[in-house]
Amino acid sequence: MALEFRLPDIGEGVAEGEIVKWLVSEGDSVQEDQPIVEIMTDKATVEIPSPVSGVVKERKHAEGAVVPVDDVLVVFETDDAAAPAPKASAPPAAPKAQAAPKAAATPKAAAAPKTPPAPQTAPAAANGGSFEFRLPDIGEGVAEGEVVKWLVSAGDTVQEDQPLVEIMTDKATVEIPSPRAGKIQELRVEAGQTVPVGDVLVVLSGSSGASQPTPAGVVAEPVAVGATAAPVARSTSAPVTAPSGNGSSVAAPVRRAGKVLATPATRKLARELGIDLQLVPGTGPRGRVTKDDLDRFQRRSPSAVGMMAPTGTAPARPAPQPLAAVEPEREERVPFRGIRRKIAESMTRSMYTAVHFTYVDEVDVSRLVDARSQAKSIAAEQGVNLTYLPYIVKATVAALKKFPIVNTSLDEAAGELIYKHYYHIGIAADTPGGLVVPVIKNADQKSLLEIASEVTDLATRARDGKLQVDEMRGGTFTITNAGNIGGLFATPVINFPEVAIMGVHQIKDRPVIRDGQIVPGKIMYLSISLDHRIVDGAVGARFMNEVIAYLEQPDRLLLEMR
Amino acid sequence: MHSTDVAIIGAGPGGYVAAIRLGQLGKKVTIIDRGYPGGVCLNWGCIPSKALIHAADVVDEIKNASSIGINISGEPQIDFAKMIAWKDDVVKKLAGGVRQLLEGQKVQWLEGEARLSGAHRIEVRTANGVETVEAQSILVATGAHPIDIPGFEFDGENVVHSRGALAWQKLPKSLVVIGGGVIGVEMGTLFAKLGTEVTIVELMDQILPGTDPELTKVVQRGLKKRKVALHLESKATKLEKRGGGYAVTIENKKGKTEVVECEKVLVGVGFRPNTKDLGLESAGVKLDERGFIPVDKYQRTNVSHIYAIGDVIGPPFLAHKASKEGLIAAGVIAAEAGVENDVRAMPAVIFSDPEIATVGLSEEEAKKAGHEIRIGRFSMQASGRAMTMQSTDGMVKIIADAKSDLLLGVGIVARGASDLISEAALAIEMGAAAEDLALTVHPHPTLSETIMEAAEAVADRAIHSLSSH
Ligand SMILES: Cc1cc2nc3c(=O)[nH]c(=O)nc-3n(C[C@H](O)[C@H](O)[C@H](O)COP(=O)(O)OP(=O)(O)OC[C@H]3O[C@@H](n4cnc5c(N)ncnc54)[C@H](O)[C@@H]3O)c2cc1C
Repeated sequence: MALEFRLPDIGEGVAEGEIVKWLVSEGDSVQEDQPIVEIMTDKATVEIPSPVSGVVKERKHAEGAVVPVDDVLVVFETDDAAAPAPKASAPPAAPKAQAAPKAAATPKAAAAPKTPPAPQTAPAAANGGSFEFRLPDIGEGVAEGEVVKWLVSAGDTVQEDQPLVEIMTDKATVEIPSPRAGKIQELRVEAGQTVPVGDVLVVLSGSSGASQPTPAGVVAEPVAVGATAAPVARSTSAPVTAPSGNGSSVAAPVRRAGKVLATPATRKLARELGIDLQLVPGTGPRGRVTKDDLDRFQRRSPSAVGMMAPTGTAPARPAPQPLAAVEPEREERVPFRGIRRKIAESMTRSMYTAVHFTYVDEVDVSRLVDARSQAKSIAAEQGVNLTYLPYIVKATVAALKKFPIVNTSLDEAAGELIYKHYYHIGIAADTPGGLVVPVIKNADQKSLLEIASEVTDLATRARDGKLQVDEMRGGTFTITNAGNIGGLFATPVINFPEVAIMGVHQIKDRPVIRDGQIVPGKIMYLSISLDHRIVDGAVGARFMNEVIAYLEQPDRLLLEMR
Repeated sequence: MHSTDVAIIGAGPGGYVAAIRLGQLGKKVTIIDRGYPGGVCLNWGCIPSKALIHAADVVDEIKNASSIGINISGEPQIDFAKMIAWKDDVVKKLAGGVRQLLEGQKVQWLEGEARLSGAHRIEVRTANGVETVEAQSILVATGAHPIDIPGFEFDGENVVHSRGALAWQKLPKSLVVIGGGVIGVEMGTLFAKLGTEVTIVELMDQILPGTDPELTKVVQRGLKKRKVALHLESKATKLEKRGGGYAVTIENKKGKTEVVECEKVLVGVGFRPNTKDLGLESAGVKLDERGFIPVDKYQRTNVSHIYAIGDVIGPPFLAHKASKEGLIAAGVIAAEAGVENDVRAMPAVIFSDPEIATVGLSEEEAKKAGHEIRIGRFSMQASGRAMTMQSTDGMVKIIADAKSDLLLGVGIVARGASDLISEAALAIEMGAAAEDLALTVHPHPTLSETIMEAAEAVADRAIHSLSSH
């Protein structure tokens, strides 16, 4: 029988390939796995092996032709009537010059991103009795922090544990306490600068009077302090105080100037991945960028990957132009940093990566309103304020279980979709410092009341900026309660790398038609934004129907309770 | 006419290395050369000169042997013709090896004079007439040729560049070397060791201009000890035949002249790129004002499918630089991922006595680049190994950034410097600090310990040194 063999998927993002050379001629007999053609893509030349044993009946393209993935390459004649479907049988092409093999080979590292504590090298002898305090490990997977504000100045005398500096990480601002008493000799970084874990923050001189020798043993001390995370990472989500608007202090660029420290092999890998090394925070000695750093960067900022043109094309990245002041005397310039900038970065990443589509429906929550008003007083007796949110969380979890695709995230580097068998629901909260998203962990295992009290607790602490870093990560799906201010519905932005976010809106009395009668009903709009790369529209709609069904018939939720 | 993926013009250390790599990457390659696999480096550059330098060193050691209790009656007898034949044999073997490697990658060898006649077309004048090569990509690796000066035109026998000197069948009694650069110093030293009376004339106030004077002064002292006549800040103004040889007029900066008689004259005053009769204009390839071919970090010329590497793109003129650029060009042509020229540490070696090797920034360059620096020095006099080898002239000098301690540059003047420098090159490529060198254990007794000690000296704590700076 004749078998059409199509150009298989030869690597992420590769949509087409150029036929460099045919390795077989029409009429040739080929064995399964025998290379039949050399295909060149943007990044590599690969040999495509034959999916079957048989005779080459027709080569569909000439050398030099550019063939889209999935186009017929060649027609085989096989005597085996039960030849497997060509696509399924086509072994993935093994690129000769692998485009991004390293990244793909290490997805497992993602599960354990715990970076080894930055080595605290003994201070150089030239430093005499001084001590270099480096940014400690401030939480799992945190590779860098931005200096929001110094709480001390050079020359100050500090006590052990006295807060030195406010550092902003991905999700929270923490105060870093001094590892020892002493005098501040030198601040090594300025407010606004981003510091990799392990880089020197500040130089302390020996405590007043008692001359401090600096044997290696003492140097280990701050690491231990940092590694215990909990006491150190006192979260303060401090409102960013804006210096007087003199316009002179602009936020330091994230892109570092000069040559980045990295070994030749790391530099090459960065180019292969199209990563601008200048953007990657280095965790190695003296801020050296390691291969692990690239890996981490790629996972955390997939949108920044590929920004650099790979080999062969000159990279073109226009530098941001400073905006000229129009009426300088009536404007105020405030450094764009802290939580605000992190929000900007993650929103940008989400919008440029996930393909958003938003779907809106209405829910008749009349019965939910009844159910809740009954339960509310019972809850109140236990000191719990029961809002609608716990019901919505429960309904969402129940629906996620039926539509596991909505509870995934995409590991682009590894080319794998991660299905999560746990349900950590983020609740977007509006705080004075900006948007934060505390996470209710294992929401499927919690009762309505437990969720209610957790929501209250998290919300209060979020408002006061007291959340721990760990309380804001690990979410698998986010709910945003945009509706309590007003509006009909919104188009929420996905909390990347999650694949969906649901917006909950105000419950209003709206006319509904029941049994041919217009009657007042309790109506709530629900909106959901999904990443269309992962979830198709129909699936998203069915998922919403499921959530709606639970909310319209809250009794059904009981069946899901545990 | 034949067509190929890549045509390479020039089979020097740039071209032949690129050809092999392109072959490995599956490209169809034709390499065109006048007939010298290995180019200048192998046929009349690095290899033959180092062979003769080795021979001269052996003579030197023999002459010196009595100081350590080895008595040899009389002077060593030098059979210069045999020495040259041995050197030619080394070259021949290596050239054969290059040809084999090329064949191993099915690289087509085409002997003749190449000239571009279009963006993708090369005309090659071979022994059997003109052959046309059509290529998708072209790699220009034609190297450079020595310059002569008016009044001192090369005659290939008595007034020569290194190529001529390396082919002499008779050892000259006296030699005037014009130009105290790498070639002049290497060749001058070699002949001085073999017993020739050598005079070196240099325009600048030091030999090896461009190299840290702290390093070159050790070599300068060595030359003087060897009774090589050095005329610094001087120029050779006139060449006259006299008797069986020549009279060279040397004028110093005050205008005083002196006439030196000699049997032979070696002119080593610089190189010019081999771009003149190459037809590059027919492909639209641009040259700079000195005739070199400017390239980008992918080794591409202004014409995107035409690449250039090695001496033809400009100084420094180093074989390993040509080879590295060859590998980069090959990777780019074959669309390998992640390939570009991002070399941070290009080592350079001068086979003087003692040898000088440098990598990274010199003290002066580091300061000019705005670095606040710390310097660690360590003298060979304090090295046990150097003493056991009777080679205590020289030093290691490490330049580190004062704030970060990162290694910026290393300069070594010492016996064996050529082999010692690779550690420093690796360290700089890896982004090491001086402290990293100091913390790495170096075996004893070796010359390499001096690098560790100099790195310690950056922090004022060399062990085998009484004085810190
Ligand atoms: C005496 C001496 C000693 C040296 N010692 C050292 C040393 O110790 N270490 C070091 O690193 N470097 C040394 N060098 C420098 C080194 O030789 C060069 O840097 C190196 O050879 C450059 O390599 P390349 O591939 O660019 O060109 P080349 O080696 O110059 O090769 C160019 C080739 O192109 C061919 N060619 C040119 N034009 C054409 C044409 N139109 N058609 C066909 N073929 C053509 C030539 O025949 C030649 O074979 C020395 C040089 C000299 C002269």
